Amino acid sequence: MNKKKINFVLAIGIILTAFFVTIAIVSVFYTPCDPYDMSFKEKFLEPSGKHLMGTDNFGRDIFSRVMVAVKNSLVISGSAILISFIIGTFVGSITGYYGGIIDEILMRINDALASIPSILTAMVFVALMDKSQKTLIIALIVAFIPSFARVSRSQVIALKNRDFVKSAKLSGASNFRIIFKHILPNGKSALVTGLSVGFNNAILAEASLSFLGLGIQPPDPSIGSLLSEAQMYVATAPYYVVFPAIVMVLMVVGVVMIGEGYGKN
Amino acid sequence: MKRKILFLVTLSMILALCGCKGGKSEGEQSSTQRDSIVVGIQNNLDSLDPHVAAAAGTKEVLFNLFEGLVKPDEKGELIPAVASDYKVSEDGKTYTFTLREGVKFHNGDVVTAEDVKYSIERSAGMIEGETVLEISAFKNIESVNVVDASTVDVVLKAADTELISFMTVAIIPKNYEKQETSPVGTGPFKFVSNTYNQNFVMERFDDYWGNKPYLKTVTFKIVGSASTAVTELKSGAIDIYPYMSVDLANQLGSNTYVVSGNTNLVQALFLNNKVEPFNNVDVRIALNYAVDKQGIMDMLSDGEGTAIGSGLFPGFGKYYKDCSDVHSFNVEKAKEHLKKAGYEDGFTFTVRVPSNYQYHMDTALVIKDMLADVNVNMEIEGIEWATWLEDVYMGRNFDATIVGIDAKLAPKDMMVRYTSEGGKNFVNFASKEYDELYEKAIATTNEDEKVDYYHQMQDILANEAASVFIQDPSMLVAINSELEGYTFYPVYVQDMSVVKFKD
Repeated sequence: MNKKKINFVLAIGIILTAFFVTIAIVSVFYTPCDPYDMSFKEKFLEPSGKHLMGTDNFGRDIFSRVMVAVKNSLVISGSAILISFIIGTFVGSITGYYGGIIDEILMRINDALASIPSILTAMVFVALMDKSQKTLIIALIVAFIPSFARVSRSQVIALKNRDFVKSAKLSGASNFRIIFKHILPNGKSALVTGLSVGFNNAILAEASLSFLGLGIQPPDPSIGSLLSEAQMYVATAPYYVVFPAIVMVLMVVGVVMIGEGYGKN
Repeated sequence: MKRKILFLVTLSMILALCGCKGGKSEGEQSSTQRDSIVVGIQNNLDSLDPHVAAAAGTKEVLFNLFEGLVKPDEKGELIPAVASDYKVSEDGKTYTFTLREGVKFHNGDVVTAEDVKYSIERSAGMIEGETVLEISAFKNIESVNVVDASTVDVVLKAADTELISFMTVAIIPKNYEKQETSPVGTGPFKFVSNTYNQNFVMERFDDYWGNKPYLKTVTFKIVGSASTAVTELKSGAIDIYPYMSVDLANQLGSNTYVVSGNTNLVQALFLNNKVEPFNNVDVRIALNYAVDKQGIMDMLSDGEGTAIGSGLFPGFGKYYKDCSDVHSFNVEKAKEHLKKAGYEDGFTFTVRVPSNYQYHMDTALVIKDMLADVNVNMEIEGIEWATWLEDVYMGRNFDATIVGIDAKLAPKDMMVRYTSEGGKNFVNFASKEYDELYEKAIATTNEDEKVDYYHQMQDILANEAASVFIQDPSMLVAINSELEGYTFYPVYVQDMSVVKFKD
């Protein structure tokens, strides 16, 4: 047996991400306090045994709200990124493989989309539709398709003239089979890295939109809306902004480390 | 020799430079005697034309630019402004105004009787081709007659003793077309500029007939949120911010102080009486029982504010009736009424709140929490102010909304909002009895009867739960410690002519 070096970066990334996913799942069934229950007698309590992260301006337990926020952020950015990954990769690899006029048209549309910052694209969508979780997901999907399309397209173009593709062609495999069975698995590491970069961009984009009041509507918490509510009280209740901020940083770091670590393997 | 000359030249240059610098710093010092301030406001002004503007947040600013024949003072009395005196005929049908001599518009013209006639007729909607926000009380005007150069008669169809309160309507020059872009009035300040999403600047009007303002320039700056205002107050970027919350006021530095007074608004969870399920009086009553007004104040303003139960706020003095106990907080009764209405299992509705008003948004959150206790699910939708005006207020396309509404000093101005045919009745309240009382109230010349009618009308609004009336919120105004003189009015205005720097 080969002694495999432990990939610390990957391991830490997986542990962090798994931790937050666990919190997200737990938050559906259990939070220490009701994240929506207000009590003016418990306004701005400092962190304590009962309220691990203190309470906010309505006397709500920040820890419980952060748990739900993690869930909301992961659900929104996770589902958005998965769908845009699938669509983007499909479009990118097809056009990369076939080339020609379709490639030109789709990629120019793609370029046009990519030339606008994804957060702006998302904002336009939210402004056009109603402010809901669904809109937010759709907006993020549209915003993130171009980056995935480009990554997969360049992988397919780089690999499509290799010998193993040619031999697959000779043995009579269909184009679809060649793309999805032969080419893409070989570009796996680039795709996974792209996925992890996209995922943490989505987490940040969701946070930004919610911060601007365009994302999840109150009283539902998301990391962004928590930060936006908390920023008003930076001077008097610093813990309110600090904890959600730390959680967001750790979530993003976890996902980034998975991508980095995977690339090193 | 050459070197010496060079030395001397260099030296003189250095000295000259020093001189410049010295001179400049002196100049800076003298300019520290400030005569201009920046006031934070929440919104773009919806119109600069005083006869068109609808938003309370616009009228509070335009108060500095425009005056009517009379204007309110800080005690709520109407004092003569453009008119120096007025008389009401015995039958209450003719108002005779004597114009003050030599009152000038900001463009230098003297106010004439024709201008007064034009202004009243315009705001009454009597001039064709002019789109204005008609003052419904002026529908009663039969004619406006110029008697002589300094006398104007306003003749009414029916007696109305409250009409004088509406004579605060701005007097503007006749046939001046650019009111919307560069407004001209007679107020203590004149218009300088208005930049969308940035600021509104005004300047002292030196030919003002009354006490001239202390400040030379006042800039109303649009501040995105109350938390931004805190930062800007601390840094000195703004000097006055009238919409502080208790929690935020605690964060202010020593360079500001906070004064509190009444906002003179009716803050309510306004219910659209025409849509399901709010067309059912029991549902409305249930919501009234379910909302703990004191709880809202405790949560948001340290208990400050005055709970109300009907359509007027306490600033109306004798006309105001305290109805806050009619449906005082009681979860059991709320459930009973829901059961009676057939909504035992509760229901869901959407409240559309202008999201730039943090206080109303926060109120929405607290109410949502309270309604959850009676199984009513209130979805909160934060919307733009412009959307609110157009869609909710004008279009009446909403289930419920939370805002504060202001009024002129006449109770009528507020109560007309609930008459079945009233153009301002955006909650679609309909009660025949109420309409009849309203007619009587504005017609009577007997003051005691009038008070009685208004009290009865408030009872109806409370008993039939036209909406969930919450409170007249307390207003916290943060002010730069170098300033003094800020004055509260019983109407919603920001009077900058009395603000000055301390000596």
